[in-house]
Amino acid sequence: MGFLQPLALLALPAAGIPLLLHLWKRRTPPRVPFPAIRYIARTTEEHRRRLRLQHLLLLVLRTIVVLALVLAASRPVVRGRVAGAIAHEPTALALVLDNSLSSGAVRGGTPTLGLLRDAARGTLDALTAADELWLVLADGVPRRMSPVTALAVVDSVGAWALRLELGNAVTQAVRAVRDSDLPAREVHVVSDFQRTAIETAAVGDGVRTVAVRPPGDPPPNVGIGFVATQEPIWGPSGGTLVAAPAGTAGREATVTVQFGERLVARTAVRVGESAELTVAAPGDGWWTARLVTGSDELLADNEAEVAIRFAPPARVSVTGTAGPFVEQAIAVLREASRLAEGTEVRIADLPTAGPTLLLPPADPSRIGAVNRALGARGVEWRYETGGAAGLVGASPIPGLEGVEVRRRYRLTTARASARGVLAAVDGDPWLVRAADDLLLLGSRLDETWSDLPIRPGFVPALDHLLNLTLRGSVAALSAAPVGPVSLPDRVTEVVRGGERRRVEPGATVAAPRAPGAYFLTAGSDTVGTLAVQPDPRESVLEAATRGELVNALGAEIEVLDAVRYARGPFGVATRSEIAGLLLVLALLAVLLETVVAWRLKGTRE
Amino acid sequence: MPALSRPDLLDPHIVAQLGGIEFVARGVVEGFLAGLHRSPYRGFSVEFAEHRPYQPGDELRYLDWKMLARSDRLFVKQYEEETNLRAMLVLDVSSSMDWTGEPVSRLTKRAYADRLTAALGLVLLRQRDATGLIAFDDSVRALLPARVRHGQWSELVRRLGQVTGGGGTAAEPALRRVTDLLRRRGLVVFLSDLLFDRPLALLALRYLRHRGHQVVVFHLMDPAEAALEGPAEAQFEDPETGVAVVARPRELHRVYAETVRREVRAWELACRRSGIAYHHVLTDTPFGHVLRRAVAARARLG
Repeated sequence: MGFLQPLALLALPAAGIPLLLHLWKRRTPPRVPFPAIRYIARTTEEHRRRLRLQHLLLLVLRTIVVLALVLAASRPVVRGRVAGAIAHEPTALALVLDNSLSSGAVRGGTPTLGLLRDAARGTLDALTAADELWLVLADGVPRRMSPVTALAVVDSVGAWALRLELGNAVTQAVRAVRDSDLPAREVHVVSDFQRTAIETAAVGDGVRTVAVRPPGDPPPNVGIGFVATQEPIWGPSGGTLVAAPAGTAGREATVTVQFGERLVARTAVRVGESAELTVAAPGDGWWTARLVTGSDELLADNEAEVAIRFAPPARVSVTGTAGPFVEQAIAVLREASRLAEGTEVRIADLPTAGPTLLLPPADPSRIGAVNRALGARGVEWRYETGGAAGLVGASPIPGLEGVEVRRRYRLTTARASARGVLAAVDGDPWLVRAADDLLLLGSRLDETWSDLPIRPGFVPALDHLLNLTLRGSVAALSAAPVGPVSLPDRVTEVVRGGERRRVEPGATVAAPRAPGAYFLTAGSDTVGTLAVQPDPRESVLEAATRGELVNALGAEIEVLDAVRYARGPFGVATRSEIAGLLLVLALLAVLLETVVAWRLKGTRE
Repeated sequence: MPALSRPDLLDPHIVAQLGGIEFVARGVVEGFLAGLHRSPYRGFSVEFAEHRPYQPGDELRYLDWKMLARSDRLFVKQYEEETNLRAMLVLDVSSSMDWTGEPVSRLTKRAYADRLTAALGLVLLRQRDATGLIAFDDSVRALLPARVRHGQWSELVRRLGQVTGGGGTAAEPALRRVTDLLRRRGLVVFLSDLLFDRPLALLALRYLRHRGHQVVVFHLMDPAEAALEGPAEAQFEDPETGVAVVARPRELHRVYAETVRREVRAWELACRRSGIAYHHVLTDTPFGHVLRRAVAARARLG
């Protein structure tokens, strides 16, 4: 037995007040002359036993009243359960409420989050001021708060498009309560316990850990697990989207692509496979493609967005001597409407204003003039002679990988770490983005310098360099909701619809919580896109078995269903506060005392 | 006659403030007799006996003028004085009688009894009954033999004023003394709070009855003795014996009243069985009410 307010026990001596009053009243009665004393004597003699019993009963009842009130004020608690007086030992509790994306799934007509919320609410209602509480939501951050505040949060929070890192959340929760001075320390994880979310966690260490599962089985589900563009900027002929569904294994989903309300592509694909959707250009400029699957019990993963820029054919001109292979390739591309005549983009052997693919001079004696021109333009890259032959390594530019370079200049920079390298030969930069609109190539586009001009990938590579690479560097970023994103240097705002969020250029920020396509802008220019997509594992709703939970979280974890949990959320050290019972006892004693006193004094005539 | 102008119907304490015992008793009796609608000088104290022929020297006021008118002869009326009743007023003057529950607004039992005794004496004497007085506590404190002479009532009142009691009550010896004093059959009016041993007192009263006396008992009781009042707890002390009992009036109120009712009932039954008239009198009862009971008892004697 213990007391939540032990200081109140200092008032226990007050229980002797009725006895003292009784004795004091007996000692000093006033003297009253009264001739008919024989009547009084006879009356008291006849009723002596009854009066004595009633006085004794009154004394006992009054003592009980004072004792019960004092004890009730001290809020005594006893081990075990007492009907109507359930309480628990003062507890440091970390309540992990899994409001991740998967909690939005409807099971048995009720959102999973609603079922989890009910379980959490019962526990929060049972908390008292003597407890300490941390609430952990899908972001995995333990937040210390009062039970009242936590109730408000639990009632208002919705399903976030996040994945709960369960192992990390439980570990953080255990750490939060572990150092508490309270006699009981517990972590309650109220979650749908997706199999894909189960991770090992550091539990134990004197902390009771309870896993509470919602009733019912998770529904089957298919959502958009992954979507990407092959290029952030598409040419006038359109491009290809790659989409992969996620969810219940083996289920098939129909994926459609829409620009606004206009459906532009459709395909059927099974979970575990991916599909390429060819999309024609709806027009020049930036577009948001919306990928949609059929409606099911989890709506939050049924849509995904990706931003695409559709650009017209680059207008290209050649300054100086580019060679016959380049001339022919441009002619082919112009014929295919992939390029047009103009001066928007240049192929030159000296740096010029505007987007330029700079070819090195055939005569090494002209290197100095070229380098001076680069310096005049503020470019740090320089040409140097002495480059060795070799093969081009992996490159984001299609058709360059594996090219045999026979002759080349070395591309060097004063910077310790070279940036903007698009292709390299044995580790030496061979194709670099020296500026946003300037590409430097280490070899001339001639078969004596490399075999690129005679490779089938030459024309597509030139198409890519002129139509896409040189027309602006567009950052195509992707991130999980609230996940970290390293922004390009020029980005000042993240924009979606009418919502604009200012950011520090080059900073690493948390991605927006809402999934979708965001534009990264620098002033009035769009310089990149950010696709915020939920973790595809949230679409896989299959729940972990009890054995899997025990394997991941340790043998000490108690796995309870919501009904069992509601009956007694706290551990074996459950105690009952009996202040209410004592108050009832005091009330009964007062009532009985009133009746006895009334009978003792009798009705006045 | 309006009740407020009749002292016999007023609150005894108010009446007592009008004057001494003699004045009060006289006022009470005058009012009481007026209420009976009978002349106090005719039909009460003297009774008509016979006519006899007028003789020179007879007082003219005794001439029967109606007989003279009818028969033209002179007759005088002769009256026979009623002298066969001897009444003795036996008054308890023990210290228990000298108490009232409301000293400011209520007479003590002794003061009430004094005035009632005087009034009774006046009524009896006006009926030409020989009336006497015995005052007693643990012994006889005053004795006035029963006579019907002029000035007997004044003497009775004077003795009432002089007698001092204040001792314990011993009714049985006093009543035996009354027996000795009352040779002829007569009326014994016993006024007491009866706070003594009932069997012994009853034994003496029955003895009086056995000797042929008509016995009337006035059981005087202060209203505060009939209903127990007082502080939450008190040490009640008998002024006669000094015996004290601690009690809580509020607890005992109901059962105490029941005890008193049983005591009164016991006295009433015991007296009735012995042919003794018993009257329970609270000291806030107007004297006229008590006198009426006494006169009724006297009338039963014939």
